[in-house]
Amino acid sequence: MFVNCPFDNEYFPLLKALLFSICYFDKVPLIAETTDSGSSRLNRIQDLILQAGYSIHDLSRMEPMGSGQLPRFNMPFECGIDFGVKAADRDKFGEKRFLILESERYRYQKVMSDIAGNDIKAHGNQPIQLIKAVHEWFKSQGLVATGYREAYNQFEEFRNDREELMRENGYDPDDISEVPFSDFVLAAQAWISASKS
Amino acid sequence: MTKAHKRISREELIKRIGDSASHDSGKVHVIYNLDGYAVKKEGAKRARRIGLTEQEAIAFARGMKDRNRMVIHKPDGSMINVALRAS
Repeated sequence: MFVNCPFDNEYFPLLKALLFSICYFDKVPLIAETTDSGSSRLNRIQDLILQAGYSIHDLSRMEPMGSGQLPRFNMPFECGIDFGVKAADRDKFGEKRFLILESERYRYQKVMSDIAGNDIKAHGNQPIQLIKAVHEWFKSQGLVATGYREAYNQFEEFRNDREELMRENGYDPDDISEVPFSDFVLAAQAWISASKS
Repeated sequence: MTKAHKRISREELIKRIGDSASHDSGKVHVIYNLDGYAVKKEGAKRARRIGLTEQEAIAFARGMKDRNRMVIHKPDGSMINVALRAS
């Protein structure tokens, strides 16, 4: 499952919820590390898009982060690549499924109305709303049986365990650059596997 | 504060986080949900109670005799640790 979202400390609480919920619902998140240089990162993103049958694009940060700053277009750009791949080869990629996440309902109609008709859900910048949105979409695709509440409550317990252990062992759990995303996914997978056994 | 602790390897950190799911340290979690608070014993898949007010949830968690620590998960993402009794 390809994940296209912002990578900064402000978004990190939502990213943690997004990656955990994908793992909890038995999918593997495919995410490009931010340490890759520009061209290799774009190549990596294209490879991940070609591998993924499902994608989640969070477009909630298509806005300036502060006065005098410019909006960020990486997320809609990568979303466009994904839609382009699907449109270019319907035989091979026609079954690709996309979830578009937004901060507010219907905001996309003002900034990117061409995506109307796809699965678009708002998370209100809250991890619990994000997990509920992902769960509803997974359920609509026939991918999950458990409820969002169970997933969210497990996420909160995981977050507590992770943050305590990181602080006890010399890591800052709130800094997105502290460990690679792949480490977060491996830790979430290990924790979920142990909790389900 | 974080930097004062000796830093273990990333591999060891992943292992410890994974192992923590099967270790009961005596916590009970009081977690904000969209329809109130849930009370969940550490290691349980499902909440023991749901849809409570924060005060009701805290009172219920305090009444769980085998728990020594309560973690309150607030709507803003903060987590508050409360000692319940000696383990």
